[in-house]
Amino acid sequence: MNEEFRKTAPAPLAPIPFRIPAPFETSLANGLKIIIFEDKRFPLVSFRLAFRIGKIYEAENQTGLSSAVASMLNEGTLNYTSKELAEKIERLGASIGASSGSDNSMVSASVLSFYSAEIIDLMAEMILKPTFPESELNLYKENLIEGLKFQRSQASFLVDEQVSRIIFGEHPYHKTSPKIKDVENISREKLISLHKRNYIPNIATLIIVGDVERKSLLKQIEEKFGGWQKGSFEEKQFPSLPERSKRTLTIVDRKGSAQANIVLANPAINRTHPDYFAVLMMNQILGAGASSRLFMNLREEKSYTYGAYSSFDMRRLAGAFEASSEVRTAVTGESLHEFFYELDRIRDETVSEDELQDAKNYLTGVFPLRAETQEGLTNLLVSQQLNDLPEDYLQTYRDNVNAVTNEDVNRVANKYVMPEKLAIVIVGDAEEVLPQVREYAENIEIFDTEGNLQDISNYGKIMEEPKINISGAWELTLNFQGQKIPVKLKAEQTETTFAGTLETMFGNGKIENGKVSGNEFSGTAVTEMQGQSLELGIAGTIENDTIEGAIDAPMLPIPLEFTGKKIS
Amino acid sequence: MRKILLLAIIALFVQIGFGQIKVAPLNIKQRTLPNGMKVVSVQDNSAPTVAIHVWYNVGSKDDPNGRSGFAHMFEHMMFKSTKNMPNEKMDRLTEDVGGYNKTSTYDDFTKYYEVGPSKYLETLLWAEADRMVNLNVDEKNFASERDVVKEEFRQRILANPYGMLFGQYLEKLSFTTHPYKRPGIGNLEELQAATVEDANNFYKTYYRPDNAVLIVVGDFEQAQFDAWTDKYFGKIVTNKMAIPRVTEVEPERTEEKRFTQTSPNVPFPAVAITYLAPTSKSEDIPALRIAETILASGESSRLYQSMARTGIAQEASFYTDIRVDKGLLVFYAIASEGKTAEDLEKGILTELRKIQNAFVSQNELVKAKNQLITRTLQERETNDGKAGAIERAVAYQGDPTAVNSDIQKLQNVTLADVQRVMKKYFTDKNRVVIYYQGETK
Repeated sequence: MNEEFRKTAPAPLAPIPFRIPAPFETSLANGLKIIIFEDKRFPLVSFRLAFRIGKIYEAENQTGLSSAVASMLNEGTLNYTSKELAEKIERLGASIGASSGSDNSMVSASVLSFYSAEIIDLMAEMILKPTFPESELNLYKENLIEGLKFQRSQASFLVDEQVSRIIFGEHPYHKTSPKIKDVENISREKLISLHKRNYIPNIATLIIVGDVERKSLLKQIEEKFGGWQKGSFEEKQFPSLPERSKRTLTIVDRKGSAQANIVLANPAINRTHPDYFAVLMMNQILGAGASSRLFMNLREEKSYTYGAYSSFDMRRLAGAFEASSEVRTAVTGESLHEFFYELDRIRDETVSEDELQDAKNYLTGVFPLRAETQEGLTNLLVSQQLNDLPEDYLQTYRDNVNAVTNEDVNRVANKYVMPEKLAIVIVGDAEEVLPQVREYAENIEIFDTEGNLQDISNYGKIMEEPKINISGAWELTLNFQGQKIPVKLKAEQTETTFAGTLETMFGNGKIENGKVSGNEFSGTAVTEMQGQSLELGIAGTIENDTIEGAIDAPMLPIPLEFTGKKIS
Repeated sequence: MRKILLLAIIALFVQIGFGQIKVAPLNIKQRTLPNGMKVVSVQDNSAPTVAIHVWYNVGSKDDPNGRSGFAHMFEHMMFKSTKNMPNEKMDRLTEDVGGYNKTSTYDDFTKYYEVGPSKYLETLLWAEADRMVNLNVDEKNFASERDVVKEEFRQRILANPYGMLFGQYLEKLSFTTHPYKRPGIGNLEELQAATVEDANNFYKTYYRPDNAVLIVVGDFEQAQFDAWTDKYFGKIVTNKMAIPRVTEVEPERTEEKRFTQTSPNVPFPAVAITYLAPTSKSEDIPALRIAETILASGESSRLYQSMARTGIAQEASFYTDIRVDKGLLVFYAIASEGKTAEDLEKGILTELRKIQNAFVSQNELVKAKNQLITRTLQERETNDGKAGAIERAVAYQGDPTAVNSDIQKLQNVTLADVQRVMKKYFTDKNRVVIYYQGETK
């Protein structure tokens, strides 16, 4: 069925303008800034009380403390227990949450507008009068420790942990998660002291969006927050990010992984950088979505993955570029190849006018959708406020997007995408992954899932070009507590692997998975002994016609050494 | 006594408040095109955006035999070329103009939807109509998309420590007869076995106007919209072949069944306990939703208070998985350090008995209703949310206007209703208990 009208897409109608009006702004005498955006479309209200202080202000031995304070705000106050607070909030059908990020801490709430007065009361109670009860703190710590163990089973956490460590170095943005000992160190006194220091009105902004009456709302805010005492806050200086001079490769060995999680990262820009819009556009073309180059290449053309993306992590003080994908293990090397192809291409070639226009259409078009809900609009206002963006940021956003040229895109690609200096981080089965990717960097490190550095030579052996040929028959002499035991090895080598047999006085074993690397070899022989199957490990080196090494078996305390020579 | 009185007054107050919040009904227009396709629309010109949903009455339960996961894999094929569009044109028509598109395959149906600037409505209707009638399935696209779906399986099921429990075992072990027993994501072997011919047959059988509902919410003019649907969808000739429907009925359970399953990389043991749910049109659904909220929504919920806060479980929950045919009512929990699957089962069954043996409090009932009504309102903020709600009404109640009576049905639920449904669907003889833990080394 193909009538004429089906053959070409109909043209769009004329564009319709979209504007976000400027919100109302004021502040209390104690410095609390207030932003109100009246939106009567639905009987709902969203609240944010945001503090311009976060994890980076924690002392180095207090990692996790600001999150603990935020999480504990609703676990007991002067007037209510944890359970009573939960009960009160949920009875209104409302939700209140608190969290601490690297730059900011925030209490968020959303509720039916009919209950907004009750929610402001409860927010004030949580923010001004938390008591941090000991019993609740203990429960929080127990749960958190379990959470820390749980997250080590997830590849996505392991990859983030390494990327943050490598890119941010000494800068406290490296913090992803506390260690168990950090959690054990959290005490009620420390919570009280951090709360007193950080939860002060002169670094706070209260943002309210929804169906509210401004006058009565302001009166209630003055009543609840007017008596809140100012505190002192001094901006700290933080160490700069480590200079990167070359590419590095970090593998987290998660044995048995079905996929490899790949992240390529380098330092980039902070949120207020003048290149923001050009970077946004470049990233849209390179990897932000399902129409972007990385997705089109790695998923649509190559089918290596369910998705491949790039992003810029732009925080208040610094930021990073990241490209990432979860690919099936066998194509880890090919996936890196395609990543580098796309990263080089966005730097070397000017993007076409069509691609640029598509990216502009996307960014300007989804903007109204991001502002469609009260929560969405609230988040836009929060981002503007906390990142010190211009007052007319939301109103001029679409013009700024449209002003970017393809020269801008090319310039920022060359500046902020650095293929030669990338940190490559891969979480996966290291034994499978390493041989595919080791050519991408000279500096290679391998960690286990607990974050312990591993001896790379345990993994590296399999990739060296073989310098020996094990093919043939070998006569070995095992040294067993002074006794000499004869063993015969027969092998047939194909490139880096070999198969063969191991004949011992206990029985004969078959080797199927032998590996040769440099002048070393290793393999496992499976043999039958008294009706049970027994695995013998054999490893050693060959020089001309002589062979030496060791044989290991589960019941042996230490491997048995052997020497021998080729007999045919 | 005074305290009880006070609580009663508060409850009354809250209930009065609750009564004052109205969820405005959606002004739904319905049409049926001559070829049998239904069109549902809600005009709302408050923002220059629109949501378009095309709902097909085919889901994972319709996967062909030996082709578990097929309906979902076919969903991916719907983004490939048609007679008039190259591969992934739908992504271009949405992302490149400032919108997005998504699709999901459910057990009972498949939904395709786009959200974007309203000036592109006609273009998107054109595109949806074209992939309904002119899809090309070729060998190359099929093979490459099959690999993508296999990666989706690895990412969702294998990479996630609890993926096998929730994505495989839960359904495999809970159903004995109904095709719901085959997880919608499928398995690697059956995905590999699928062919282009399977895809063409599936397309011909299920992707046709009389098996679809178009739902559009947002900024348009009704007369113009009707003309567009006549032009692009109305002229599609439907094939007359009868559509095969699932007829298997899952039998009622008569005895408890217990299973223990293991997977690698599972840090803490987990338990799932499932019961068969009533079908989606049952009058008991609103009371079950209230019970679900009381048991498991928020920190004041019963399971959170009795299991998570007491250090038995890191997470303890209950959810209703209501489907067109009998679905599942599922309790699950993940253990805290040092706790066992047995501890979790005991904790869950204790809570279950409690809600069976006594009325929940008036306060809990009001709280649950407030939570559900707030969620409904939040969903209705967006065109896409409204369209999604209509879609569920179509899928589960066979009537788009049912979306306007859902809230009233929730409001009508009484304390006695909650107790009655908890006794009716949960017994010692009709549960499936699944223990899930790490492989011992």
